[in-house]
Amino acid sequence: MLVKKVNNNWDLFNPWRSVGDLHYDLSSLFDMMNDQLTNSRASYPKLNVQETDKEFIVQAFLPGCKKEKINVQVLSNYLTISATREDNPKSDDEKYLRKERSFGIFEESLNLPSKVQNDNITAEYKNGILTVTLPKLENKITSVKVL
Amino acid sequence: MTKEIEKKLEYVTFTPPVDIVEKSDGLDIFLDVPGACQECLDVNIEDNVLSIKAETNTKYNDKFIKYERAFSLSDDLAADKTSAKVEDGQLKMHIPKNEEAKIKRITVT
Repeated sequence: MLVKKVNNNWDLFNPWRSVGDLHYDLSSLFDMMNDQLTNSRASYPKLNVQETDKEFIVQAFLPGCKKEKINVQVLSNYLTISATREDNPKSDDEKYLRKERSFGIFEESLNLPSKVQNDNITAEYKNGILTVTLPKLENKITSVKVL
Repeated sequence: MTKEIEKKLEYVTFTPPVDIVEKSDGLDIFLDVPGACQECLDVNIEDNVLSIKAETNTKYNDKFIKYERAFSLSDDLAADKTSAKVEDGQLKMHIPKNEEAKIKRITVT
């Protein structure tokens, strides 16, 4: 999950700031609890988001998917990854002793904190992980001459 | 000592979900281990305990992902004939049943 915390001078004097902080603290507490609960059960992470100076790297954990069934869409700075995973065909003489893996539709969307170069986005699927690299849009600084 | 602890902190361990399917000729075991390649997987059977370990090169929250899971096997399985294959982050194993353990159905006439 991407969390953008704004800290500017105006924010310091905003009386509602502590309410926002409380909301942030509570939601991170719930995230932590959720992580611990899911960690004790069988699982692997869903998404991993990293940010470097030049790009965002989003990794989606999609074991056993076919490349053709993975769809990556970017609309301005909103990224959507969707994929379909099909279960192995089951024959009559088989009996499940344990079934923990999930199949079906996977969909995750996230809002990137800044705009990306929509023409240079790359995606690679390897070892069950989809890695989407989104280069950031460079902010051009124009200096204006004072006449 | 501190170095040992530091090294432990570099990893985050997950328990991969499993599907176990019983067939007439043995067991099929499927594990979801996204990010695990052929070289980083370590599958062992010792004293009828099947243990699967994988140390991946994939990071999650700045720590490398590690997978660990173990199962105890029943005696009617031929553990020495286990085959394993990893593809697209899915580990597929097959453990055949012992010859004696295969059920022989006798038709009553």
